[in-house]
Amino acid sequence: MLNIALPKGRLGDQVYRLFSGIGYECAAIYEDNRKLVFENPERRVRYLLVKPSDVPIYVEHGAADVGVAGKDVLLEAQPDAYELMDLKIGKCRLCVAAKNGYIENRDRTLRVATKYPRVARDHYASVNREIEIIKLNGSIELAPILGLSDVILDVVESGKTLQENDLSVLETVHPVTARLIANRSSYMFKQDLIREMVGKLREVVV
Amino acid sequence: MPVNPFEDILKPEERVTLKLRGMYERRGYQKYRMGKFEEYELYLENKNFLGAKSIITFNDADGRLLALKPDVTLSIAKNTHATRASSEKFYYLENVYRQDRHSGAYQEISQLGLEYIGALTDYAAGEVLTLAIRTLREISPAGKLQLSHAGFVQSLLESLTDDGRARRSLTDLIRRKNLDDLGDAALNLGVAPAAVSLLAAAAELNGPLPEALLRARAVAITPGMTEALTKLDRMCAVLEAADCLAGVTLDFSLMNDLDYYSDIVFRGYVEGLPRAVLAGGCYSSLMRKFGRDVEAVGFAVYLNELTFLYEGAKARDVDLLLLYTERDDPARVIRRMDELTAQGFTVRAETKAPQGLRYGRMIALEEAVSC
Repeated sequence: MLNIALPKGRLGDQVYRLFSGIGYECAAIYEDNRKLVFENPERRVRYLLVKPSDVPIYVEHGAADVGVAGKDVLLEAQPDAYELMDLKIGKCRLCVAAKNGYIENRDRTLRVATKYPRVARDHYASVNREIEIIKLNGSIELAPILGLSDVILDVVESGKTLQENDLSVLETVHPVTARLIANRSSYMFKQDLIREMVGKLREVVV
Repeated sequence: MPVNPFEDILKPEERVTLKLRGMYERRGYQKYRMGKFEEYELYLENKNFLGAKSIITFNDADGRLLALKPDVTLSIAKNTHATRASSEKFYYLENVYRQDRHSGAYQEISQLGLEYIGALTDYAAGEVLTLAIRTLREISPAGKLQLSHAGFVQSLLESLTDDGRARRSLTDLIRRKNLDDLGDAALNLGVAPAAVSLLAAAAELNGPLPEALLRARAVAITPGMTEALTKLDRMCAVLEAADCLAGVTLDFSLMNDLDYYSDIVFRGYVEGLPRAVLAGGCYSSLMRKFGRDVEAVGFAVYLNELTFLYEGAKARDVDLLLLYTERDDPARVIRRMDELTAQGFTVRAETKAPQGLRYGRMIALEEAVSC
């Protein structure tokens, strides 16, 4: 039995469609949307629906053998796990954005509002820029509008939310796609199952 | 062999530790008791080896800055008197203090480790490797050892780029088996597509030892890679002779810090535990950093992890709860306790049943108990 951690929400739906298309279907997943664990013993799979940012935790601690998480989540969590495949879905990018017309004052600490403090720290350390991190959990776009921060570092898909809030992208920090990750111990003991899954995915993911 | 009278009292991880100590002692490894503290400077100079950001420090009476040991190997490397002509074989059972990667809180981690320092003959390296596998089997019959040679991928990377930083980032991608990003990163560095395929093949190469070694030959394009495979071939022969080949997997994505480990490296996993329970390898490069012309190989078992493996075995705290009153003669209670424990029971004597105590039967002072 392969335990698969799926991120709840739109990405999880996309991933499930991809997985069910290569033989890992579990019809129960559509039946009851309050359940968090769905099993199909015939296909030897058990899906766990978890918060997207928790996927690396479930996998690293072995509660799930494999999982799917966005590259943004992985860059932030840095889990001690294998990153076996780029599923090439859930495409977006981690960007720095600011209010339209923003001009950076390089003579003072840059205030960065983000859900990704580690990514922000690493990114600005690589360009030797001193920053103050303002850790938020949602509605990041509000921060520069209210003067809480100078810039934000967040995922941008179409850019529509930024546009509607009078913000624009200053730079792209990292492209983001969904990744298949695996627990290191599971890879030793369930290697046949995991490699079979990766093999099947490689046939359909282009 | 004498029967250990405490066999039923010991927890499973304590029993395993005892067995392992016996196994090591019978092969001439002596127990070495180390101090709990070390000069902080040692860790400052070798923080890459530890991978730890924070260490518990304090000032000694003479003003020296000391640290609670986050690691044992560094102290061994610094303090050993071993030479190529006069080797040392020992094992240790020590606590180390490290920060948890996620919560940032300090943890006390119990480690059982074994080290060989001297001239690294194939027998010496093979003996340690064999002991690592037997250690793993003692912990659980479903143990598997991941084996690698750091020189294999290192040599390939050195042939592809001179840029040390680029090599480190490629190494990190190989460790994660992230073939997609590895390909892109190598191509961006100007590595030829044919060499990129070799790199991916090396990162992905995985399988039972004798068979995977044959496949690895097809990837070996540098003398360093061939040398690594030859060493692994020789280890394979030792493991076969020791009947230790089952459950050994070759996997070149396993690489510890290359500045310290440049030869064979290995990691042991047990089914049901998400993290490695054993890790080790040859750390002759570390010895060289300390200016010692001597080779070394060893491993550590993370005993804390084992507590999760054997969890939930004990259903009750004691077999019997012996109730006495304050009017009873203490001498009678003592005698009765001796009788019951001599019969093999675990017994607790109390005037009232303590809250939460899990016991098999409650008995009065004069009540007869059959085994």
